[in-house]
Amino acid sequence: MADFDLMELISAPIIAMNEAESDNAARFVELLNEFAFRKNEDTGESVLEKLKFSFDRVDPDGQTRTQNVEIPLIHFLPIGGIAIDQATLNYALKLDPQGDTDPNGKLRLKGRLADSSEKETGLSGNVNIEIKLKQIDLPQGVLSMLETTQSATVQTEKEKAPQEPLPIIPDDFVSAQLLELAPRYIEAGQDNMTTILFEFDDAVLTNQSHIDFELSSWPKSALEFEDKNTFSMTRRGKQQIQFLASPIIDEYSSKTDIKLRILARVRAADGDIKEQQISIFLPRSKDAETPALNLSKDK
Amino acid sequence: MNHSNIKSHDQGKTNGQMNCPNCEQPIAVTFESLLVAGKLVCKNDECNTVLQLNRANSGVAINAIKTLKSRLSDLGH
Repeated sequence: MADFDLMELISAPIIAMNEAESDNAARFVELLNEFAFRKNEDTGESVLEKLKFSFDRVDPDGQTRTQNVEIPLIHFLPIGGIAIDQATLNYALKLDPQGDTDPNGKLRLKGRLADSSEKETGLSGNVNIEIKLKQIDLPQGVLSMLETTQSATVQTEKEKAPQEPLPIIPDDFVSAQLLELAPRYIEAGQDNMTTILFEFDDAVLTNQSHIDFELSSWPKSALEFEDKNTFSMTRRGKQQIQFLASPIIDEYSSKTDIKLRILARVRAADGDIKEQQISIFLPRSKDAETPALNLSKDK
Repeated sequence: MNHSNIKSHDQGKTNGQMNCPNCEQPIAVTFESLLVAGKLVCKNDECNTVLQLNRANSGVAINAIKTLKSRLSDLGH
């Protein structure tokens, strides 16, 4: 077994531990670079990687506003430094009493590892190294970076489209024109489908409102609607309505007016529902006067 | 690469921390809360702010977290 320079024997493990800590620190930086930053492809600069969130904040005036917040990813990374907290090295040495001198004339002790049990039967296992690691506080530079990036947390209020003022709904909130009535009079019978085409206009429809229409007849059982007797509109437009005249109309007096009623409903800003009724008198024979194309409005 | 600098964290345990932008109270962050739920919730009873993760605008950061989570998993954390 070769002799060791005693100084080297003691310093080598310390140097090894220092190198280990140095490697550790380098890997810490590698991790930061890998996860906390990204390269700006245009400028080549490292920029903070961020996660972006949104949340609703209620203002003192009771209004809820959506805000965006950007938080650096580094605040979510479970990376931290570890270091050797304590190292205990136990040697059993046998010193060479002669020693040696270096070029400067200083004495250099030499020794060899010896069995601590004082039996020179083997040298294995006679150096005990016990290293305790600890989680060190983050380096001051990293702490500073965290503090700096805390202020890089960007909080912005989401741009909201200006709130469209809720419309004031007039009593006559809808108007209509009769475009077509075919045939020009109603006649009872399954084959006598009547088609009416209206064009509705309005004063209140916005992106946030719609008008519901409900069809009925007067007398109540005079007309049978082919499909459904309701429809909705969110913008002005044409609407075709089809119905059959019930056989019962043949029993009505010739003086009985038959009306198609259209009940329009819209929800006002205050939550109230406004209604407006439109009706059209339906001619009952081909000899009848040309049907009135103007719609009457029954409040 | 040796990832000895990655702290040992069990799945579901805190992976990071941030301050609530509304009340400044600390919010513990787990990878699950980011990757699965997609939101963080302030535990302050008087705040309870919900931070909704904008996945579309956080794609690169989310991928980084997925990579880190995978490596932690490989390391047995």
